[in-house]
Amino acid sequence: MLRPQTIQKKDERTLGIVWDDEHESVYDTTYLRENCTCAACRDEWTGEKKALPGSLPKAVHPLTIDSVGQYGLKIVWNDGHRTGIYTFEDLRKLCQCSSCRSLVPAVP
Amino acid sequence: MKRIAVASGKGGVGKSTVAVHLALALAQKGFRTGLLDADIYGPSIPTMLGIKERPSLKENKVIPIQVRGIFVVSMGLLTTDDMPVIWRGPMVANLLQQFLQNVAWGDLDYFVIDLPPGTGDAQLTLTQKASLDGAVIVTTPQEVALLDARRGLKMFQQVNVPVLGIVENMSYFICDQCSKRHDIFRSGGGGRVAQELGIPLLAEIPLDLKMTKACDRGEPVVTEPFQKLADKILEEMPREKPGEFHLRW
Repeated sequence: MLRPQTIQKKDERTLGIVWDDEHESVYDTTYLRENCTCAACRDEWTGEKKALPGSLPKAVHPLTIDSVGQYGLKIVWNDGHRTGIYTFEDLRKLCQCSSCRSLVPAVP
Repeated sequence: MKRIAVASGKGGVGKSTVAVHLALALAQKGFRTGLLDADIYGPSIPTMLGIKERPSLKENKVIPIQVRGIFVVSMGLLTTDDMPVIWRGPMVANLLQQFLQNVAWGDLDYFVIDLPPGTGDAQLTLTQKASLDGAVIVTTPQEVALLDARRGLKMFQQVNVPVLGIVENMSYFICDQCSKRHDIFRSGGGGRVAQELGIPLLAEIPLDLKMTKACDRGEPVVTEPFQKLADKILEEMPREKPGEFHLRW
């Protein structure tokens, strides 16, 4: 499994991850928040998103980001949401760098 | 400190027996070793180690029981023998967190965690909170146990915990009358699964009546298969664990 080497705040609205294969990912924080996979944000059976894209405040950003075991990151958001665990696998799929964005569609 | 989880997909395969003997073997090699019985619903480690006393508290921390050179905490030390623990998942998760954070484990070299069977709340909590260095899967040679062993292994792979290998318990029986080896529960199943999944077969532990009786008396003895198991685990243990991330926005 791919793992991040470093994670950093690129700017107020952008998270940067450098992976151990040296790929550099960037994530718009609202996009990350919209793609939270926790049970409150996504139907556990159908996988359907419960919060519609665009329905979140534009200024949503993380407060803290911490490791969960050795497989993911837990993000606590400034809108009070704190139940999401982003696995490294999901994060890599969600990469929004210019080359990945053209290859992988956003999760519906 | 290195944290090793001893897990099994199925109950009754001898996971606690393996955890106890592994911890004792590591202690005999001179390592300061802790043993956490995380089997909240069916704790058997106090019986196997002959522990009767309850742990004491010092400065709001639980002091582990020191027995046979290892430091032990178990749910079985907090309840009476015949009282069932009937708890929902969140309670189990809370207690396990307490066991990790509010026990004065001291400066351990090795921390062996005996998980409950299966792939549920306790396993998830420990993989999230205990930052495991490696996991050992215990199975018996029968197909039903092997099927669950595969599930256990996949759980650890999903959460990125290195699986050190498979321990096949109740592998065979050497008859004390005819000295012949009997493969009571078929043979070679653990080895086949290990090969199929590309992980080492760490040990084949025989059925041993003396060992069973010693455990029932609370006086376990580290026999050769367990010494070899500890050696093999030390060999397979990853030297470095990846770092953790903490970012404040």
